[in-house]
Amino acid sequence: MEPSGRGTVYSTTVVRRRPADGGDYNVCLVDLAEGVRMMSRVVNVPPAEVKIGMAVQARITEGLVEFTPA
Amino acid sequence: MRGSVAIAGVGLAGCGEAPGWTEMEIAAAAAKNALDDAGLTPQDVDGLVIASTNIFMSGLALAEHLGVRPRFTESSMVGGSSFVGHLIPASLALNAGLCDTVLVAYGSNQRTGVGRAEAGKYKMALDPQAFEHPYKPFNPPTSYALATARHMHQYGTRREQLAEIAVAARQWAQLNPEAFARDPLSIDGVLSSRMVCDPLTVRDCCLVTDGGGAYVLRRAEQARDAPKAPAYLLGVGAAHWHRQISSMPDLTVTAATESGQRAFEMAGLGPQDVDVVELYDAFTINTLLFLEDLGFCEKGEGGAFVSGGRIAPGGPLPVNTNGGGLSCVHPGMYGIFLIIEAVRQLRGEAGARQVQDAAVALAHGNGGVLSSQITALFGTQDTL
Repeated sequence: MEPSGRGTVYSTTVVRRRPADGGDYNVCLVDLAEGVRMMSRVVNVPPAEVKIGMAVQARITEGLVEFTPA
Repeated sequence: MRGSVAIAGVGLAGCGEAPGWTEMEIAAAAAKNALDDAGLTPQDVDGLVIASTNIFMSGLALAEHLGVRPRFTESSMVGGSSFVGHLIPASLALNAGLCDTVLVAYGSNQRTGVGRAEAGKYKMALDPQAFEHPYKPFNPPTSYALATARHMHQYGTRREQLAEIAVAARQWAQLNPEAFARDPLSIDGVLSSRMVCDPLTVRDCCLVTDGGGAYVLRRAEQARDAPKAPAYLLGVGAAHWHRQISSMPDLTVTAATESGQRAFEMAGLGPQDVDVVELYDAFTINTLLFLEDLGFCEKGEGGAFVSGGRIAPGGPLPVNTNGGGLSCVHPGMYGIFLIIEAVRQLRGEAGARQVQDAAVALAHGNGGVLSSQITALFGTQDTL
């Protein structure tokens, strides 16, 4: 099966981190269109603007699956 | 199994800060206090139970430290719920006649000893979780924050309602001279505290303390010889569905739905029969989820249920009467403290925080990231 890379944010949080250590970042759970849930992050958007229900699209960055708003 | 075993003694040690003490020294001191409370000595112990996040072969280590030679040793490790879960094998062993006196003990120096962050680095290397660690969850808060966000989204639960839980815990702690955090705390104070993982502030998160606890479990007829009134085990049930939060089927429903039902069935009781409730409150969302999942209110109504001081001192349902993990003590695995407070309430020795005529107490343990759920019900002689 060829995965579509489409998904929906099931839940999301902003992990708070000092700016000196790289600043805040997103951690979320994404339900893939194929019915599997995974932990990941949504990038290309400020971490607090990632919302539950948001449609997202997978991409692979340095060997890791991450998402951008669809 | 109902009523066949009872807790004959409980003890605490090193709660809050215990600089210079090792984990095993704290556990042993708590064990000594529990044995004293039961009118027993280490020589009476022939069943030994402990769980540790750090110590290899912890059962052997504790036996050596106490100078006991147990016939039954048990070290199941399912996170903070372990010490509630230990009631199951301990009861089976007692009822089978494999041993007569089981000592369950715990100790931790995570506040003043090797800290979580430092230990965490080694644990990440020894126990890689390939599907989560690359995204750098700051666990456990990140996993509980994800559950909180989902509950808020799905049921309209508000941060103010979660803050009510932290405030209620603090008000109970103010009645408990042994509690670690006793400063006044308001709902605004919770909301305006430092954010850790949205929507959880540091005041939505449990304390990081040192501390240990222990209890002595015996068959009912032998527990009646103890100086204090026995707390009979009326029911116990366990369930777990996942380890990592990404494998939890529905972040708004925990396996407490099953563990609670099993414990209530064994006890022949329901939520309406419970006088005092001790829930593992690693985060404010825990209390809310467990009240729902154990049947004290409907799914999704936890926010309204806890509002207006309803679980605080003077409210209709006393919850986490020692101050809980949020305000009393949390050395990493809180489970044993649930049981100790339940027993004290049933004995009527809880001082200013005593719940009048408490006859049935519920202790609900949580382990991992809403993973292991274990519910126990205890009662006085009158409930048998």
